[in-house]
Amino acid sequence: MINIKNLDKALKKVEKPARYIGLEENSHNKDINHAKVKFAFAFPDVYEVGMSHLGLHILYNLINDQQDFVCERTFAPWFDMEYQMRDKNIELYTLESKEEVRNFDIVGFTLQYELSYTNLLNMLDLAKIPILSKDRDETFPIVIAGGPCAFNPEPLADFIDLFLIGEGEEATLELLELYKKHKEGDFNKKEFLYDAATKIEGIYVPSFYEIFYNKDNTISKRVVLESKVPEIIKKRRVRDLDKMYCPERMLVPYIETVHDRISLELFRGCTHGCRFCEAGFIYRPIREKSVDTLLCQAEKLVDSTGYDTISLSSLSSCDYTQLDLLIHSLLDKFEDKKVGVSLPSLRLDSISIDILKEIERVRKTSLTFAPEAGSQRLRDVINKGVNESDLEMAVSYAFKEGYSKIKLYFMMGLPTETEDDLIGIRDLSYKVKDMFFNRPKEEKVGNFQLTTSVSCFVPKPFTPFQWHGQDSIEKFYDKIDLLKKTFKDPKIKFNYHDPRVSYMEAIISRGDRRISNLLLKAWEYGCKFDGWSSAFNFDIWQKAINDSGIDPHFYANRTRDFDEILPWDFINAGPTKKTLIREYNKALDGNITPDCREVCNGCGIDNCEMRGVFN
Amino acid sequence: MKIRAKYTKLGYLKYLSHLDLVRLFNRSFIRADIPVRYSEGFNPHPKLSLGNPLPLGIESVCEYFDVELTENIELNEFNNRLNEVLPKWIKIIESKEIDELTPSISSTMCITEYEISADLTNPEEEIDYSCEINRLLDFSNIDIEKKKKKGKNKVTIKVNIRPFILKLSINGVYDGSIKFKSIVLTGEKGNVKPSELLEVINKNTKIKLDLDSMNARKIASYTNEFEE
Repeated sequence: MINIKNLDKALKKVEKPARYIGLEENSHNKDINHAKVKFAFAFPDVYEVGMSHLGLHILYNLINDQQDFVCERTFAPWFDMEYQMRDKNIELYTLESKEEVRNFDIVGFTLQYELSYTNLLNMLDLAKIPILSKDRDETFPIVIAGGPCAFNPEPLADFIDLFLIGEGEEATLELLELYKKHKEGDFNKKEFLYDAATKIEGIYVPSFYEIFYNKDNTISKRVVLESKVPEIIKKRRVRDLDKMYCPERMLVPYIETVHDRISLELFRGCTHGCRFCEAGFIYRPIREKSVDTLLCQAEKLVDSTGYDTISLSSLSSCDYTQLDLLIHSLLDKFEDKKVGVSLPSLRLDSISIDILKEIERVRKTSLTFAPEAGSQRLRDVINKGVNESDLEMAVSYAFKEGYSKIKLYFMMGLPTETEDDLIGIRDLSYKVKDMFFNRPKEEKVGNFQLTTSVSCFVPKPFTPFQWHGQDSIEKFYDKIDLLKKTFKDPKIKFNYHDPRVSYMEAIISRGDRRISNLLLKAWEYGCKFDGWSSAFNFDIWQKAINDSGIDPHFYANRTRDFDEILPWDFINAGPTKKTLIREYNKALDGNITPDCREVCNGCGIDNCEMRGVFN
Repeated sequence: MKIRAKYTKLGYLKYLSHLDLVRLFNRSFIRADIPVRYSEGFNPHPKLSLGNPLPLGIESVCEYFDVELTENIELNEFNNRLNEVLPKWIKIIESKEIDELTPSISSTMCITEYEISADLTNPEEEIDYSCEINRLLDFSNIDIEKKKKKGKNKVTIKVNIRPFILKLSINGVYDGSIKFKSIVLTGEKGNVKPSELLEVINKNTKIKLDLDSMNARKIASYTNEFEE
């Protein structure tokens, strides 16, 4: 256990000390000394961000429900707390037992965002755990990672002993069981990793593979170094969500977090097939929970947390087959308790707003829509299945319902984009404004404000655009200038993302093992919390790029050939490469692919749960 | 019905902010099925009011809140049901019914008794601690610098806190650390924090304290009528 007196001194000097104390409702206080396997769940961002992540609540309860295992949490300390910890020799600790993370058997990081990787390194350092996997012997914990970004594990290959690819509900317990067996004998790190890699599906151990490169920096081959270790890693997926483990409790933070409410997961996967969206491809196929299951889970969660809002959280919650029935059942059930229901994302149709009108106890004044691209041509390219009349209908309906603040989300730098498409962003925004003011005077309620936000497109692995070269930073700035000049109306606020941040995201997300060195350098030079605009420092990143000798253009801006071996090709995420190539070609031709609830497009997932369900 | 409840704030939960406490109580009312009255309007919230905020990092065995209910409830049941769902460091000690005319907690409970301890940085020095404290209390002016918001800017102003210190005494010295008891004003008319007391002791007496090692606990609250 860390020195509690020192911790107390540290807590008196930092902002939001309750980030670092634990003791929340529904937190566990199992005796870690009696646990056979001690697992530290590490989230590489601040407490408020990590606690809003549903996966944390699932894995935390899943592991702690097992008698032999204990799971405790640790988060990245904010700058002020890190200073205090280093000053007072406080190692990174878990919130529950205030135990040094170094004393745990396994440290598991969840990878939600590429720009949190420097935090991961910093947390290992604060835990006094050697950062490189090869420097850690049996006296240190096994360091593992999972989550959406683990689908391209290569940039972290030098740091992480073992990756878990796909959904973790089943594989995590299999892994802890295996660890328990090994710990009962004479524990040997390599033997454990070998057993995990060969016996558990979805486990990837980077040290069992060697990568060779061509002169042009592309990959020439991957060689498996140990016998029986799989060449292709198949992602794990839970087949029946009704039978899947679902926690009856959620940790209830004392301090305000990003999502201060119950998260009710309706389904996994998404059927729209938007070509830019990684989640839409790696979480296929769609698997829904039944209304009965959801009502039962919601009741237990309300009782155990005291939250007054249930958020229906899935990739596109309005798609839930029995949404109407579910919402009415929830509202009926919790009417007395004044518990409300909220929808985090809206489809561009009036039905969504109708539901929203019914469920939101607190009337929101602003609504957000994501047309993603400014022209119909480009929306077809990215397979975003909405057209201008959908948006018009939704917006006019929203105005009629009294909403006066609208937010529109777009991307720039999408494949085939032209100046006309960019001007389309401006045109669509002005159209929305005109629709508000062209109504009869008596209907114009509220103070109209439109916010148009444009982000810089980052091509992601496992999407049809994984071969596409990202626009250069200069090009992004040119496009921003162009847009800025066209937005002159004080009623329309034009926002854009920092192209330099998107550039770093692009380098890391499609990186190979050589990116490990860049991350190490960036961390050594002081980068952390890079996803926070207040902390992001591009100058340091550039120095790290120069000193690590990587060619940033090679990773971010280069358009790849279809026959190139991509760093993440050895992972089977579901849809085949053939499917992605087909989708990319269709995109370039401006052809759309229908929602796979309507027709099976043959993406190549084996034993797809969808077959026979919707079509 | 309106209830005034007295509760504790101990252990690490001394780091909960005022707002965190409000949220904790609101969730607890839902879980304990307490029939709380909600305000009218677009964004209804429970009719709950807390006393003056306790400085972050200070424990207390005498915090208060007032809450309005839509129906009557036995006070014992109110306490028990809430205590079942509250964390063990925050517990209702007692509660009583009050009427509409009862003045608010923050306007009446303006005098606070603290127990404060801190490590001495000069424990080997022979000092008559009580004498030092009495000497300090003989000052008619004890100025400290307080940061205040003036419009948009933060300005530092000098405040004489001597009139706000009603009592300050040594409660024991052992093992290199010293314990004080103090009664101070904590309200609109004047406000002294335990950390400020230690600061003025460090500055004006021979007693030298490690300010970071401070532990403080609020042990009593008094109304305006308090007289030494």
